[in-house]
This record gives sequence, structure tokens and C-alpha cells, in this order.
Amino acid sequence: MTTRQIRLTVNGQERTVEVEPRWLLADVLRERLGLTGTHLGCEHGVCGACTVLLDGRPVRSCLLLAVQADGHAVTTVEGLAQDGALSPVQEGFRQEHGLQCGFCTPGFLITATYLLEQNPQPTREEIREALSGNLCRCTGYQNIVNAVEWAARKLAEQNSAKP
Amino acid sequence: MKRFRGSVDKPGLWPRKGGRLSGRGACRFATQVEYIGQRRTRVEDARLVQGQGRYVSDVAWPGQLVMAVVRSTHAHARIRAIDGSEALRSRGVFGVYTARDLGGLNRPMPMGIVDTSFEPALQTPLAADKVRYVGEPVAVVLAEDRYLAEDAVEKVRVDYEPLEPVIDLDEAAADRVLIHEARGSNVLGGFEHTVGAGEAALATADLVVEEVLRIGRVSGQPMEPRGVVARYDAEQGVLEVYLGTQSAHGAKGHLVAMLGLPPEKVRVIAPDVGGGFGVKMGAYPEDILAAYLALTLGRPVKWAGDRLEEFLATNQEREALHRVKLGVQRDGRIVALVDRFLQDCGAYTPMGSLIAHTTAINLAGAYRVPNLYVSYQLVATNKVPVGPYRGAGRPQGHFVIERMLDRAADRLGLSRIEIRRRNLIPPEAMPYDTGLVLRTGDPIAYDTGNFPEGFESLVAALEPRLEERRRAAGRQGRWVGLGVANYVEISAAGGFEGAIVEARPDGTFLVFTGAAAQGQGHRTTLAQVVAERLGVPFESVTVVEGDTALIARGVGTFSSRTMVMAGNAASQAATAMRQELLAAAAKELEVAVEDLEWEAGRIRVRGVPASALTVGEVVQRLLQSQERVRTEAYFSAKGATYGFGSHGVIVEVDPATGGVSLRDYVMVHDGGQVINPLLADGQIIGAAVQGIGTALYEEIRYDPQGQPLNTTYLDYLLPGSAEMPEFELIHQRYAATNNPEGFKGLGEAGIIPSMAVVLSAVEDALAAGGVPAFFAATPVTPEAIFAAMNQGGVSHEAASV
Amino acid sequence: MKPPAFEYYCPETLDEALGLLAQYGAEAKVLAGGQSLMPMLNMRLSHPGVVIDINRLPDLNRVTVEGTSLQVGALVRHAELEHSALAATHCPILPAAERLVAHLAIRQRGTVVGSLVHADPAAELPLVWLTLGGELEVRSTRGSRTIAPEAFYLGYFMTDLAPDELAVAVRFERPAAGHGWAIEEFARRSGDFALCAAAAVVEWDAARGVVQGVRLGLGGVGGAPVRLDQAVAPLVGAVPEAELVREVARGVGQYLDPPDDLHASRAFRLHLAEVLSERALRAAVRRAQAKEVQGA
Ligand SMILES: Cc1cc2nc3c(=O)[nH]c(=O)nc-3n(C[C@H](O)[C@H](O)[C@H](O)COP(=O)(O)OP(=O)(O)OC[C@H]3O[C@@H](n4cnc5c(N)ncnc54)[C@H](O)[C@@H]3O)c2cc1C
Ligand code: FES
Ligand code: FES
Repeated sequence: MTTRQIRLTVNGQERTVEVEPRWLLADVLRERLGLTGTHLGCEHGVCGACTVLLDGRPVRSCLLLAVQADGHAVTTVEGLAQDGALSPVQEGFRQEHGLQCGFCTPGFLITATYLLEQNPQPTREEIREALSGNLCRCTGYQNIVNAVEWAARKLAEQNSAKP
Repeated sequence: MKRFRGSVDKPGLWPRKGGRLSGRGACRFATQVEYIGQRRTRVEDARLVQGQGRYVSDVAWPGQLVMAVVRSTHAHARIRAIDGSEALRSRGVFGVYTARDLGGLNRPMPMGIVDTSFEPALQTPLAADKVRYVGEPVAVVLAEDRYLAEDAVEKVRVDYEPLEPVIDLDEAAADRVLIHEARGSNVLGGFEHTVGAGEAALATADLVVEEVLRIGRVSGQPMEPRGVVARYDAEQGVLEVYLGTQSAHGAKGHLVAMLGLPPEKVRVIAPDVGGGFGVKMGAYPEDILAAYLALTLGRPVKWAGDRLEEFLATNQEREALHRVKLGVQRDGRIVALVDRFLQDCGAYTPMGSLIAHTTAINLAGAYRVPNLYVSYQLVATNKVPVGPYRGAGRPQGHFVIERMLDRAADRLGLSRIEIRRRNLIPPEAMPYDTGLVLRTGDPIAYDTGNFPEGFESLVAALEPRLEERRRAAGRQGRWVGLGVANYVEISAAGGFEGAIVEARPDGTFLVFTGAAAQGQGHRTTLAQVVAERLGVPFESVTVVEGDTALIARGVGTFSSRTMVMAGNAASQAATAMRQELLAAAAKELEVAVEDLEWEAGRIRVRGVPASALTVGEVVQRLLQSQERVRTEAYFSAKGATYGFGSHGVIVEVDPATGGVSLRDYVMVHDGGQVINPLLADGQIIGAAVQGIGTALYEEIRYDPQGQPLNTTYLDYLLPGSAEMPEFELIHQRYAATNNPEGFKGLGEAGIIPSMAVVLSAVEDALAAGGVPAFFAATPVTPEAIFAAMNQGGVSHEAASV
Repeated sequence: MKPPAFEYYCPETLDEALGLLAQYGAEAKVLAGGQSLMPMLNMRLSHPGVVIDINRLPDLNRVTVEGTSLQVGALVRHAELEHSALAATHCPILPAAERLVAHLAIRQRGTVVGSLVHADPAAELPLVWLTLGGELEVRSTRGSRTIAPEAFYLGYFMTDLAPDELAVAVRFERPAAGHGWAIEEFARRSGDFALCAAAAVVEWDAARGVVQGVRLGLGGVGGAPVRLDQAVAPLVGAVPEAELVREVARGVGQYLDPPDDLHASRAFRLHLAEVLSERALRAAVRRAQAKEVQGA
């Protein structure tokens, strides 16, 4: 079986791996790069647990071949915290009990991070709509919406504190 | 017995700890720190939100082989031959194994619970000569990775002789086609129970309503599929198994039984588990097979199940057919309830008659039912085996009584709220013996609570909003309705759980328990209990769960039992630890224990501030003469805990499309002494959404050939964020009386009435639009609403007055 | 659920891509956004020997106005059309339809053309394309041709595209300025494929206060979207009174032949077709009239 060498920038770091073309990005992240925070919940694009940022945009890593990410930047849940400090979205999930088993959480965090970049003050309806492509079987979503609101408030505070 | 007033507050808020609850025989002494009842964020989360959780599929050992399963494509067939030769030649393949290769291992797997009420039909790890459901394991492949393993699975040729399948419950019960020939019948067991005069009492009722209620088959669908990684440590002679399970100790028991190993040579670790909801319990073929192959081959074996397998090969639930009669007086009071039901078992009975039995003992709900007759038959069909899914019979039992009350109210011209008022068990009647009995033989006697108070607070919260919603929606041509339902959560019946508290020389504590969490946050809540009972900072307590090597005995997390069992065990072990440390300090400081004060991690002599030791120092002294400072407690609550609650929901129906929107969803809940309201509310809301799924979206469908029709998330619809309502919670707190801490189970509360209440609300909305309807089956899809609109709501009712 | 093995090509020029398609034909699958193809590979419902990834082809990622059409290149993602200013101006129904397609993350990756070619009978974009009219530009080493939506859809997931052909762009006909439009669908959950969807475009004769032209399309009612020119004919030149719109909508059923399936019965789909037709026509008329008021 022919393999290909690909180069990815994962969470800011250059990584080079040799992969079979059929390998999904999610599997390469998890099994080759040791980044097991990206979860596989359905492998057909519905649950959203595998969502990562590709060049800053949320995509399903179960529906992307790793070779397709060659030369691109990937951000996973492991890349959200900065200098050991939880990002506002991560902190929001902790504060508002936006996770129970935590399996769906990485996908929600990635999607919510993108949402707040695009729309820093979303309504609850907008949050629910943006997260409709992520399934959570534990929380019933309410605390996840609270968590994203928490993060939005935090980000607003941080921005107003900046000169 | 002391009673506490329920309190109404804003969603998510909790009454401050003010009046502490005390159950019967409260055995506590004052400590300065109060953690029980405190809203605390979880210690689990920092790891999980950074992607540092470790789930089974994240475990990887050098040299590991990946297992994939060849599954039956037939619902009912004889296996003529299996040819794995082409698969064996496939790239990266290590081996292909069929029943024949397993020898003595391939015998019936143990049942996941103790149930001697009938002779079970148990699955073998691999089907040997017959398959009984689509998805049943027929062979396994080991390969270098999952891709290669799946390549090989496609190449295994199985020659089937198809047999006629039986899918429908009534048909199966008729025994025209037998699934387990040797049993002579598809009816594998049965049960009946009578309270009061039973069915005979119907003769004295003014009205008898009769219905056939059908509850759809659903799938638990935790976001993490099942998985297992096994490896044999030849040096230690220990088989180590990482398993996504709700019961590490239960799984260990199954492995010991199947593999014939001494218990001390098997270690089961439940790492982070991505949701359980009842389905990650019992003995599954893949667990046994991976462990067996790892043991015999001496190489680690991993099986990470995928979503398709979660649909094809993980226990499902709910499906049952109830033939019910409810007799009432003209004023709405219940005279008698009669329910004969067929419980679908699927092809095997891995978890015994648990669900049917639990359904039966939940039939009275929160009401006085002076006469009751229930019988059930356990019926095999050619479908995925049935095992518990959150609620495990509680939602079904309540569905029956609540649906029937709605029906009776409509027939009597009484409001659905009023009929409930007239039947709720009043506080004066507590303790109230329902006449039903637990499996343990203990009577089901509701101990505490004020049901009418809870129900009225629900009605008060919702009724005023109904008109407002009707006015607003009416302008858009939408119909609005209100549904209400009550429940009693019978939980934590039977078994025990243990906790070990170990003191460390730095003054911190470890707590070990067998009851691992799958998202419930035990590392936080049990630490709250232990920290409070010890009188030490929360941060100094670390809970370690889910490893059979660290605590020898344990049961697991299901049936909302952990806080009652492990919570009290932890409380007792912590109390014992405190006493032990105080005694040691007294000896060291040469005073009596009564002269000591414990404050902020220091033990000092009252009035002599200089004479003091830190907790760590006391532990260090003890360690000079003993290996460990440990206390251990095992707790088993007598009977069960009984948590009351009410749900009410206002829905909006679009009569043109049959679309349903949930507007206001209010839940009243009595959780007894709650350890952490933030987490408790999370459990309740999460469960309610699962119940809404069963009511409106979810159903596993089979075609007449037994082929499952919806095995993807595009076809099997889980509730999504955009459709779910915002929930409001109203809390009551009536401490349980069967355990010193007054804890009650609450993990299943939210799911119990949610099916019934949603159906009721949709009907009410249709009635408001002039369409009388009665939904006798779940789920209520837009299609079902469309059908009701067309038929003018006629149902198969045969009533007599 | 892992893809079967395949040979993978990632051509960097159109000619290279067409050469590969000519070479492998039916053995090959084009990979665009992958939001429909990858699930099928993961579930092993498709076993292509060769996958030709077109994501690195140049110049296919543009939305442009070409004469009377809005042109969308084969690598334009759903999200790009959703937020395209040109689309909002010239074909506002397209961004609205895009908001109904799947979810945030799927729309970042899935392509407009991929959706048209995939030909899911319940997909929104084929319905809108058929309703607006237009053409698909298709290339192969044999040459190029254009296909109109009426000729393109042959049945469930079946199109007129030959195995060696690559769709490079789609053109949507721009309705007249001041037109009214609407897309109405009924899906079980946000982002789900619709059980039934209706798209309507109304051109308004402000001087006479009548409908000048009208188009209605329905999706989810059979193997391919359907345009109901005959059914809506009574509206042309007429004052769109509520009663007339309702009558027209009630008449759509005779032109449809929806199936019974897991998600809905034939009868329910026919019912939804009527309901959504009425809603879409009314909303489109309202929009057309509102524009007139605004313009005045
Ligand atoms: C969870 C989920 C929900 C979804 N919900 C919806 C929804 O509600 N509505 C909806 O419309 N869609 C939905 N989709 C599908 C989505 O819109 C896809 O993006 C779209 O159907 C296909 O586009 P793609 O670019 O991803 O195509 P691919 O998946 O790459 O390809 C699909 C097919 O088209 C062929 N193909 C693609 N591009 C070309 C080309 N240029 N020339 C020739 N052949 C080509 C491929 O060979 C393949 O056969 C959903 C998908 C998912 C995973
Ligand atoms: S695993 Fe990718 S969407 Fe579910
Ligand atoms: S927290 Fe368990 S699935 Fe979301």
C-alpha cells in the first residue's frame, strides 16, 4: 500500500507523518500524533465530536482524509488553552457544568470557539442553532448554552479591558 | 420524622443550606466545613475540556492487535459454514476466529444481574450454529489496525440458511416460529402480582377505560461507543482490561467466570467513560472475546466499537405492548389498574427480567391505586437483545398510569390536572405502602415527600402561561397544549457499594470506590461528602474510581444508586477516619478525644492553641507503627429511595405540518439531600431530554425481515440543541429515611415522566384545535399527528361504563 | 467504519483531473467537499478503486455574475454561498436555502456543486437550481457541455453526468429585479434533510398588481426535485388572493408521486407538499409586494 508524507501545522506545531491516503484526519491525529482529544462518535458526520478547525474553520475530521490536510493548519481541543490557561470557552464549560461524560465536549468547544469569533454576542437561539450539528447525550444542552454565554461575557470583559 | 418545605426558586439556583436535612438516625457531628449541598464545579473538568480525558479508545499498547467483528446479516438463520480463508490472506491480518476456534469458551455468558425468576436465554460470545438477530457476532478478525481489520471482515464468507424471523410481539408470543427451539416457546418467563382485590375490583368502578399501549424500541446511544482493550501481563500473570463499563467489578466477575481465572488475576479498569445510561453493563461478547484473545495470544487486543455496532450490537430497550384497564369512580378516583404486558426481550436476555419487573412495580406511580393486577410475559424476538436504558422500566410503568389517567379524565369530562389532584398520595399517608414489592422482597413503601405540594407548584408555574401562549400562537395558526405528569423514582434498591478512605502523610486523602462515573461527577460529589464528614478542605480529597485493583469489592453505577450507596459508604468511611485520627491525636497529645477540636486541617486541644498537630502529622505518627491509615465502609440501604417529581410542558403544534415545539418545560423534583445542585440539575435536565427523544424522535425500526432500518444518526434522530426547550426546575427536599445521609437517587428522575407528559401536551394542543386524539404509542411523530388529524383522533379504545 | 483502500489522486490542473477521469471512469469517484462521499466510504457503501480529489484545482472557488446568471464554481463551499454578497443581491433565495443545508461545520466543507451532483432527492440546492433554472457546466476530455436541471436529474441519486465528466460550475438564472422568493421546508430537526421542501419565485407586475411570472419547485417528493409550471399557471396574470394561492397549492398533488419510506408516508408527503407550496407562494408574493412598497 502506498503511503504519502504529509506536513500539517497542528496546534501551531509542524508535524510530518507518513500516511495511507484512506486514513481519516481524525485517526491520524489520534493514533499517529497522539492527540486523542478529538473523538470519534459516529464517523458519518452527524455527531460533531470530531470537529477540528482547519485553517480556522470548523470541519469534521471524520470526513476529511489526512492527506487533504497536507499543508494546512489544524487546531484541536488540545490547542485551545493558551499558556496553560483555559480558554474562555473551556472555562465556561467548567463553570456552567456544560459537560458530563466529556465525550462530545471537544467538538462543542471547537464549534463554540468559532461561533464566538464570528458572532461575539450570540443570542441563546443563535447558540443553539450553531451547535445543532453537535450531539450531546448527557447534558440536554441547556448548560452548554449557558457555558457559551459565559464565554461570550468573559470575552467581552477581556476585550473591554484591553486599551 | 422531620419534613422540610419545598422551595421554589429560579432555574439552576438552589436553596442555601439553611435548614440542614437530617434523616432518621443521622450520625454526624458538627464539622466547620460544609460541602454537602454546595454548588461546586467539577474536579473532572479541567482535564476533559483540554482533551486530556482517557477513554478506552484512547488506550493503545505497543504490539496491540485490533479486533473487528463479523456480524450476522440475517435476523434468523442457521449458519452452514464460515470461510475465513480469504480474510486470513488479507493484508495485515493476524487471525480469524469463529465459534469453533473458541472451544470451551463459547458457552452462554453470565447474566448481568442476579435473576432467578425464570430460565434465561443467554448468548454465547460467537454464534455457533444459529444467529438470532442482525448484528450478532459470528466471527472476529484480528489485524494491525482497524482499517485492515474491516477489510478482512468484508472478506469473511458466511453461508446462511435463512429462517423465518419473528419481529412482532404478538406474533412471537403465538409461537408459530421458535427462536430458541429447545425452549419450546418464545415466552421465556412470566410474572404476576396482585394488590388488593386486583382485577375483580374493576366491577365496582363507574368507568373502565381500556387501551392497548405500545412503547417504541429505543437505543441508549451514549456518545462514546462501547470498547475494550485487554492485555496480559505475563510477568504478573494478570489480565488487565480497560473497559467502557458502568460496572468494573461486574465485568470482572464475568471475565473470571468465562475465562476461569482466579479473581486476583483479573483487573478491570473503567477509565473515562463517555456515557453509559444503562447500556454499558452486563457481559458483552466483544469484552469476553478481546480478553480471551489477549490472554491466549499474549498480545494486547483492542476493540473500539463504532456507531453502527452501537446500533446493531448494544442492548436496546423500552419496547413493550401493554393491554391496560383502568377503573375509576365518577369523581376520578382510581379503583383498580390492570395491566397485562408483553415485554420484548430481543433475541436473548442478558439482563434478565429487570426491565419488565421494574415496569411492573412502577405502575402505580405517585397515586393511590388500591387494587392492581399486573402480569407480564418475557417474549423473545429476532431483534437486538434488550437491556436497561436509563429508567429501565420506570418510564414505561409511569407511561401506562399517566396515559390512562389522561384517558379517564377525558372520558369523565374532568381536567387532566384535577384527576391527578384527586389521586395523588397525600403527605399524611406517608409512609405509604403501595402493595408492590421490590425484587429483594422488601415492600415498596414511599417514605417521605409532599406530592400535592410539588404538583401544585408545577401547576401554579405553568397554568397562567398557557393562555398567554395560546393567544400568541393562535395568531400564527398554532395550537397550544399543556401536559402534566407525576412520578416516584424508585431507586438504589438492592446491592451495596463500598468506599475506602486512605490518609496520606501530607494530610491529604484518597477515596477509592467501585462505583465509577460515566459523566455523573463522582470524583466531585464523593469528595464533597468525604471532605465534609472529615472536616478537611475539599481540595485535599481525591477520589479514585473504577479500578478493581484498588478496591476489591464493588457493584457499579446504575439505577441512580451511587450517591445512596457509595455516598453513604464514603460518609461512613470518612467518619471512621476522623475518629481514628482524633483517637491517635488524643493519644499523642495525651488528652481525651472530647478535649480535642478539629479545625482547618489541625487538631488541637481546646483552649490550648499551642498544643496542636496537623492532620498530616497525625497520619505520620500512625504510619510509624502501621503500613497504611485506611478506613473502609460498605453500605447497603434497606429497601429503596423514593424521590417524587412532577413534569409539565407547554407545547405548540403546527396543525399543518404536525411539527411540535416545546415551549415551557417545568420540573419539580425532590432529590432528598442533594450533594451538589449544579450536578443534580444537570442529571435531571439531561435525562429529561432523553425522555423527550423517546417521546418525539427516537425509534429503532425493523422491516418484516428483521433488518434494522435506521442504524445511522441521519435516520435515528437524537434530540438536538435547536429543538430542546429551556427547562425550569423547582426543588423540593425531603430527606430519604433509609440512609443516614438522606440521599435519594436522582439520575433517572428526569426521564421517567417525560414520555407521558409530552404526549399528553400534544393531545391537549390538538384538543384545543378541535381534534380529539389519543396517542397510544411512542414516538409521536409529525406523521402520527397528521394521522390523528385525519382520523379526527379515533383510537382503538373499547370502553365500558 | 473506515474507508476501504483506494488509489488517491490530487490533480493540480483541470486537464490532469479530466485525464484521470477519462482513464478511470466508473472506477473513480470525484472527491469535492466529501460531506456525502466520505460517509459512504466510511460505511463502505461505496468502494471506488480510485479517488480523485479536486480540492486543489485552481479557479473553481469563485462566485461571479455572468450575464443573466450567478455562476458558482465547483469548489465554492456552502458557507461561502451562504455569505456571498453577490448571491444576496442577485439570488437571495440561495443564501436562505444554504442556511437550511446541514450544519455550520458541514457547510464549511461541502460544496454547492457537489450537492447538485450528489442529487439527494431531499437536498435544498437541487430544488432551488431547478426552480430558478440554469445550467451545469461539465467537462471531460471529450469536450464540454452544459446541462439544464430539468435534464440533469434522472431519479434517486441519479444524474445525467457521465463517469468521466467533471462538473466545473453551476449557473443559476437570476430572477428579475424586484422578484419575491421563498423557500419553506419541513425537517424534523434543524439541519436535517427536509421531509419536503418548496421553493417559489414570483415576479410582480406592479402596474397591474398581478403576478407576472411564478415558479414553484418541490423537493423530497420523489426521486428528484419537481418544478410545477402547470400547477401554478392559474396564478400568472392573476391577483394572488389567499384563496387562489390555496387552490393552486391544493392542486400540486396530482403532479407528484412521492414514496412511502422510513421518514414519511406518501400521504403525509403529499400533504406537506400542499402546505409548503402554499406557504412558499404566499411568502414569495409578500416579498414581491413588499419590494414594490419599498421601491415606491
Ligand atoms: C450531517 C450531514 C447533514 C447534511 N444535511 C444536509 C441537508 O440538510 N441538506 C443538504 O442538501 N445536504 C446535506 N448534507 C450533504 C451536504 O450538503 C454535502 O455537502 C453535499 O451533499 C455534497 O457536497 P460535497 O462537496 O461534500 O460532495 P462530495 O461528498 O465530495 O461528493 C458527493 C458526490 O458528488 C460527486 N461530485 C462532487 N463534486 C463533483 C464535481 N464537481 N463533479 C463531478 N462529481 C462531483 C462525488 O463524486 C460524489 O459522488 C449533509 C451532510 C451531512 C454529513
Ligand atoms: S465522528 Fe465525525 S461527526 Fe461524528
Ligand atoms: S457530555 Fe456526554 S455526550 Fe455530551
